Amino acid sequence: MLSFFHFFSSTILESIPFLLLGATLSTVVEKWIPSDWFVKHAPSKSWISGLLGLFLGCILPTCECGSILIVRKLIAKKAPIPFALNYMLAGVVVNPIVILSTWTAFPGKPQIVIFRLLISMITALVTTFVISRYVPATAIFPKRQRIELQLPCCAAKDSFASTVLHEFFSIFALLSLGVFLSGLARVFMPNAAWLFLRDHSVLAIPLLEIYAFILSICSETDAFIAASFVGLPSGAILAFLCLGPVLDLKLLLLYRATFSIRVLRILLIVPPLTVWLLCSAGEMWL
Amino acid sequence: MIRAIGIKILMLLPLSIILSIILQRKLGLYLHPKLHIPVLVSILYLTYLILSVKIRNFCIHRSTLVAWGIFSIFLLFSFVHLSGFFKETKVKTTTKSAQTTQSHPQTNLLKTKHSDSSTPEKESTRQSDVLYTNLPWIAMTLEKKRFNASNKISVRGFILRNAALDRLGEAAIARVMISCCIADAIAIAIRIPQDSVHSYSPEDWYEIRGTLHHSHLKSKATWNIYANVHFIPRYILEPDSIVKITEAPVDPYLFFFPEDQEMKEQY
Repeated sequence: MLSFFHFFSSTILESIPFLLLGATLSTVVEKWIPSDWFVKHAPSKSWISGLLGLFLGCILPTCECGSILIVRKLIAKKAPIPFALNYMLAGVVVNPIVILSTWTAFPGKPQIVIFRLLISMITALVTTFVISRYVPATAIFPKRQRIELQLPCCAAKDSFASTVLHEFFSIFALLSLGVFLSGLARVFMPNAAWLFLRDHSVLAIPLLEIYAFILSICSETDAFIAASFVGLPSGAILAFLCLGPVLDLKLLLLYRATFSIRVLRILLIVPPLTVWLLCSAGEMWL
Repeated sequence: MIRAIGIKILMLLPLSIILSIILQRKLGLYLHPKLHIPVLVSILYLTYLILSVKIRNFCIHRSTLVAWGIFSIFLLFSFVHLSGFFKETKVKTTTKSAQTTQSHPQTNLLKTKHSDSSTPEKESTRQSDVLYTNLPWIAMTLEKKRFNASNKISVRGFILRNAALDRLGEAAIARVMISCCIADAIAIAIRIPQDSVHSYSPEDWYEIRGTLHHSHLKSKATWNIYANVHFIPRYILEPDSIVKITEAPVDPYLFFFPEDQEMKEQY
């Protein structure tokens, strides 16, 4: 039981700097970017803005809990939706911090880094394509926001500090619930179940996707965990690295609060399948 | 008004706990050193934000308050536990085990040491032909095939024992490594022969000096029963001397560093 308390508090402690960075950056987006900037400057073709979104992570590097705050602000500023969605899905991998940590975790294996970047980008593009193809733009967000985005006292004229705090705390409850659930799974799941997940190489890719979903570790550190899966096929390790930042238990709660059920359904189905396909294909090249 | 002040105090509560953790230099029990400065900076920043916001503007959702309160309770609980509030019973049992080992005349290799008295003399007793290092570094260097296995090494760790290892006549010594926070902790272990003369007590800390020998494992499934423990494959540690450390070290965890030298020097 004590290890659970310890797990919970240290994971939250670890995420606080990144969450605060995300809250600050999203406040900067809100305060300093004029509301019609994106409408004026966005490329007219949606696929160009989608491609630009893939590389926004190089300028705004955050991990997944911080990036969803920025995405919500971008969308509120009328940024093109493929741009924002691609940043949310790929920006957490295509950024200097994550590339560096993957590089250090897999020394002498540049193909893992390259494949991780490629597979995450393709997954983001496919998911964004499916969402923009099958969900009309008006149905992407729920009619009633589940977290109060606009409390009466948190209006646009508020000070910088209170907006940052509001952003920070609006996501904190969901994040801690996600950490709580994944902590419960880690502490109370029997060892045998974990070992089954780790050791069955026939089903390795889908099982490691489930493992990544439950573990819910930050995209900046999951490379080190993956490096410890000695003896697993590299395709399964890639699947762990590519799905974790896009979909996991704590992210599911954050998505649930931001998007409508239809988008949520696509986010639950498309990324795991794409990652599965691409990783089994990529395994031949590794 | 009073409610708003109460909320502000609740908001500042976990921050003050984290600050006291940092001041007591216990943050290493939670996080990798590379995150200490970011955490300190963000705690100060958050404190500044909370203090600077006008009380009238300080509106917050109830679920967030509950989550923040639960976080502070859990943090307090783990901190109190880690700073040794509940450890009195454990000290009693270790002194008992120290007496029993002294009464065994056969255990000529097994010496008990009190860690507080041993720390100053340890530096002087270090031998030049022995490599004082740690298990994760050895595992990494073995993987890169850069490790000279004939070297005499000295490592610290806690003992793992289970039925499968006992059947093979072996135990294992393990050390936990953290690459970011406790959530990604993994233990690196190496098998050691378990003589009947000095059978190790599980979860106690030992300092073992010896050399690595090739030893292939017949069946992986019999001994690999922990999810987060990674055994160094193909090697066994033949001990020359075994020293029991009666108290766990102040810094029980090791940290992952990309630089080889920094990783190697942790002991």
